[in-house]
Amino acid sequence: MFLWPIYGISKYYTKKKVDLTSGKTNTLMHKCFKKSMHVFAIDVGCDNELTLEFYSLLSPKYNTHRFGIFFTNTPKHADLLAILSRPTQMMVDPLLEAINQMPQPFGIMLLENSDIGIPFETLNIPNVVAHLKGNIDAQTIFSTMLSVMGRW
Amino acid sequence: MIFFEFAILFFMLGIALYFNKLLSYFFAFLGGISAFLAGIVGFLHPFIVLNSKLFDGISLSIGIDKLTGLFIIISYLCLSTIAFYSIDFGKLFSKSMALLINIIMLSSLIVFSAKDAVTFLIFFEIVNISLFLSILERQNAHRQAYSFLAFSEGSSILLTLSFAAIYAKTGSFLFLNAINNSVFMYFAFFGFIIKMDIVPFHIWIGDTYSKAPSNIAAILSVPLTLIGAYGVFRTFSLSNDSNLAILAILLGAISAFWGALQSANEKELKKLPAYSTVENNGMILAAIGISYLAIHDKSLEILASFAFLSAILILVSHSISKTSLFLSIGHAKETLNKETIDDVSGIFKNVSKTAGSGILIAGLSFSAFPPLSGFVAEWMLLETFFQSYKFQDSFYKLLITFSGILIAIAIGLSSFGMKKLIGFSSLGNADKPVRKIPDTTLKIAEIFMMSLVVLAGVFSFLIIQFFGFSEFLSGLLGVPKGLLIISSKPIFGVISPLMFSIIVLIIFLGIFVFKLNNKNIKHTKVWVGGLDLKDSELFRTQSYSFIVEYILKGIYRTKEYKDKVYSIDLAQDLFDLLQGFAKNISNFLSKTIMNGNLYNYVLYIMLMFILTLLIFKFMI
Amino acid sequence: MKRLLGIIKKHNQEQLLVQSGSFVGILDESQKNDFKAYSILSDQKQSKSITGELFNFRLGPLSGASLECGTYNIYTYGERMVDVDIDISYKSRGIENLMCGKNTTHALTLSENVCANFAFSHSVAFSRAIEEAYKITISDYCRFTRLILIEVERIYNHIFVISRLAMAAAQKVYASHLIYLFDDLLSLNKKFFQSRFLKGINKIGSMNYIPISQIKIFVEQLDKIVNEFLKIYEFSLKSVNYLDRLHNTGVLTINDFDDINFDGPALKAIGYYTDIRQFESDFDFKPIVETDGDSLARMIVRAKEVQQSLNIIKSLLEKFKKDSLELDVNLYNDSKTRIGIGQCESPSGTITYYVELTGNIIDYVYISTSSMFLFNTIEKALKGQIFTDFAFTVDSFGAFFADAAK
Repeated sequence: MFLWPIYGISKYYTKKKVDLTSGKTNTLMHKCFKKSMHVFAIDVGCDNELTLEFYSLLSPKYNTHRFGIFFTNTPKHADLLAILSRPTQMMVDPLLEAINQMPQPFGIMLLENSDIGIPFETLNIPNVVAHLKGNIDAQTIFSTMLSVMGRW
Repeated sequence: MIFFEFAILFFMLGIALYFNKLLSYFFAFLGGISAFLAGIVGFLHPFIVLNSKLFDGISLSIGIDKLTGLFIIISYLCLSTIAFYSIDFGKLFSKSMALLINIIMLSSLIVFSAKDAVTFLIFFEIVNISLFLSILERQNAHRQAYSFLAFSEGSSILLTLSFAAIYAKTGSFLFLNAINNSVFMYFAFFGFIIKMDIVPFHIWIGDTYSKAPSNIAAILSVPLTLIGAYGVFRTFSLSNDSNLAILAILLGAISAFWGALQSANEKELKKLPAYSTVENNGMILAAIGISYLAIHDKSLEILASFAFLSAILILVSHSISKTSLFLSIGHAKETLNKETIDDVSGIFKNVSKTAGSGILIAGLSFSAFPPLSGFVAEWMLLETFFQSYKFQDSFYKLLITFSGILIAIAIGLSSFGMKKLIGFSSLGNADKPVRKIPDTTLKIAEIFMMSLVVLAGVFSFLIIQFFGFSEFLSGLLGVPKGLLIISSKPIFGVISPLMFSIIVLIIFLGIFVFKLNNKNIKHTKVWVGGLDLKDSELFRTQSYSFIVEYILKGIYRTKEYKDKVYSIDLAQDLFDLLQGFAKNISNFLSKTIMNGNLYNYVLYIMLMFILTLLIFKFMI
Repeated sequence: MKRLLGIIKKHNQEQLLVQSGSFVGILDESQKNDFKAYSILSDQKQSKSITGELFNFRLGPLSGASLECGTYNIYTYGERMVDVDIDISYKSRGIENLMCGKNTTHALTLSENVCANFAFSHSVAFSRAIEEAYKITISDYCRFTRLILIEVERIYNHIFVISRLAMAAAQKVYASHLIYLFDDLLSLNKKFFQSRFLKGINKIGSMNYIPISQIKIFVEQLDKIVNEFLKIYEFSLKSVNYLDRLHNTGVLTINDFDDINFDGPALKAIGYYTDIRQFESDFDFKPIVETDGDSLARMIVRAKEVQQSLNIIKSLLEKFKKDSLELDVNLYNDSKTRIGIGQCESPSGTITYYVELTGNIIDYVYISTSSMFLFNTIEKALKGQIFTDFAFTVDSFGAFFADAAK
């Protein structure tokens, strides 16, 4: 507890070593979030399947905290933005604003389970680290998040 | 002595040159500084300026002694800043305001230094009338100006009666002759606490402060209430009546509580500091009450002088913080031309950095934020109350403990109210249309006042030393001797604002340097569900205050309506009731007696004449 | 009890889709004055303006507080929610419009995409509408499996809603346990029916074939989970703190039903019901009702319905003797115009599909879902409550933006 200034300073200097501006996002994510990653999952017009899959990740069965995965309620605290399904027309602006609010470095995970909504390809979404399609269950989401962290 | 004469000269010049606003205000400023210096000299070496005997028993006597000097130092520090502030601020108002400010400054100087009742009363009336006229500088302020005048005249009547009591007993108007004259005591006490806006005589302040121009509001809030405080101090110095002290503690505690309570739910920009004035004056009154209650007990001499010191420190802190607050608020209010706290949101961003930080620092000082002056003052006040156990009499113990509870709640509530003021007005984020006004002296005055608030807190030990209370300075636990304020002997409680600020500064400097080095900062909008925040979606002062209004709904009599919350100010209601009653009686009299019927009127005069004769015959 | 299920707007004409007892049908526009809910459903709801000292505390569209992207505009002067306006339009995917011009098989998939946790109910309601239009009689096997799976869907949805309530009350252990059971149920679905949310099982006129022996094993495992749920649910009722938060929160009365015409557990919590399962001949159905009308009553109804659903499944399984391999039903694509109405009792209330077809191509479809009504009910229930009760009120209804916005 008394060592926190030393910890803080060491963190400050190690942070500098990672170049946030260049390099592939995936490797950057591996470097920065190997130990812990905060996830902000947003529903932008899905049929609730993905929302509920994310919800069931809270089940003790997955024990996400043990792997350093935490869910946050704002993009400002998040390292990974999980976009659940293709957005509806009205959700495009809030979605882009959420991406804009993410602190560097960040990754975006796209999930889609139907072809309803505006395709992701037309939105020019940056820093995509994973793109899941089709039949997605909680386990798949979990393992993908672990692989984004570089732990799987 | 020479400074006093210079001050009078400058004020006279200011009055004579009233047609040139700039020069007039400038002379007021110079006069203020001279008066301030005269105060310092008088505090250290009391002197007499004038002592001329008009005729038997009535003399004009002016001089500065220790108490007068103290009050002149505090009030002229504020008044000269207000005068300097008015150089640019006065451009928004007519020439007569410069004249009136000079008159007010001149006559208050004489009010403070008057040694006899006649001089005091004459100049006291001049102050009142000039203030009345200067409130009228604002359009449509008639009702407020007259209610101010009514209360001032009420105070004058009580004071006249009290002075009559001195004359009746000693045949002279000198204050010194009033020692242990209990009729004088009570009349003077009530006369002066009206001037201090003590509950229940605070009714007029809310509307009047918000209507009056801000420099005048600052004068109303600080130098004018200082006259009241001066009177109370003077009265107590002449008395050894412990009942009066008990009354002071009670009224002071209730006043502090009530003022803080009203400021906690206030939504108007200038009413909030107005109620804060009520609260601070209540604290001063309570502290002075404890001081004079303890003075009768030989074993409590240290407590008595500590309570006296805390009263002085609250005076200092209240005066400079409140002046700073009113000057900054006035600046913002004239620039944005709005009345409520919600409407002036973003003063720091839209108006000026000085006005914004003025409100911030003064507000924090009233919230007892260390190491500002308000923190030191309120710490000392609470320490005074904590020592209630030292009284032998259990009634005193109970009284002081319960008053202490009220004061503690008051401090909490006022901090709640002040944070509202700071957060919603100074630090708000909205974009507002701004009116350009000349603001150079405004900014300088604001900077001076806010630095004074900080310095008076950090170097409060110097103030304590200057006022001659160095017995409450000590050194302990590595704090060098003289830098630690102690609340009793043997040591009861200690603080050292200077050491605190040094340590905090070192830590914050470190953080600041880290922050400056960090260039990787991304600036984004506020995150509210991914959409821009609309004006209708901003958190309002009402919403902030609702929590206290709801919790204390027993006291506030909170009523919730469809689109608003309504809290009743009981004192205001009672006053309105009295006002209605008085109106009805005067209506009744005007219809029955003074209805233009000559016979009725003659009959009334005859009856009154006989009644008066009878009273004098049998009473005296 | 008669309910207005929706307003069908075609060619500038309005018709009313109503239900009264076992009757579901279309009424003329002239009778709209009989239904107070008409003004709410006809989009004539005026957007509320802010007056006095109120401000709009907007929650959403992307907020951690609600799982879905809807917006709660809460008008308040502090702690009390004076008025609430829920905006469901952010989630609107226009599924009804997407269905038009598609063939029935494609539309069936779309109906499952309205709201995944009610996917089976939607799919059954839609296929019942088509079956009515084509006058298809389904086999016993198909009828029984559908009834069983509807109840399965009810069980996991109810557990989900109760877990949300526990989460809101910060009953972390209880909530985690419930989420575990919820996830277990979904995994069970995946194991036996290849889809966690029972998608793609139902077909028009038939079902994917699942051997009866499989279903029996499924029900055995379901029984275990439900019993575990009931055990911890009973235990949770000992927490006075938890119940106190739900008690007297978001109270509704029968007058609110007259105004809004909501149904499902929210209506049962007041003491009335419009549950269409009462007209089923395949099992005995005694609706579960409570009388308090608050969040606690709604939770109790749901918990008891979990037990009831399990009992229904068991009783169906006893009657369900022989299974038969199902054949796909061919829908002939003549250019005849057909109209069908189909209903299904979803976990939160009745879902009704009104479908017009030309051949097997959909011309017009109107979906009446329970959440449409429930969001209006939530607005009503939140009015006058304080913020602390927000989650307890909203979550107790089991309303979904996906279900309401379609």
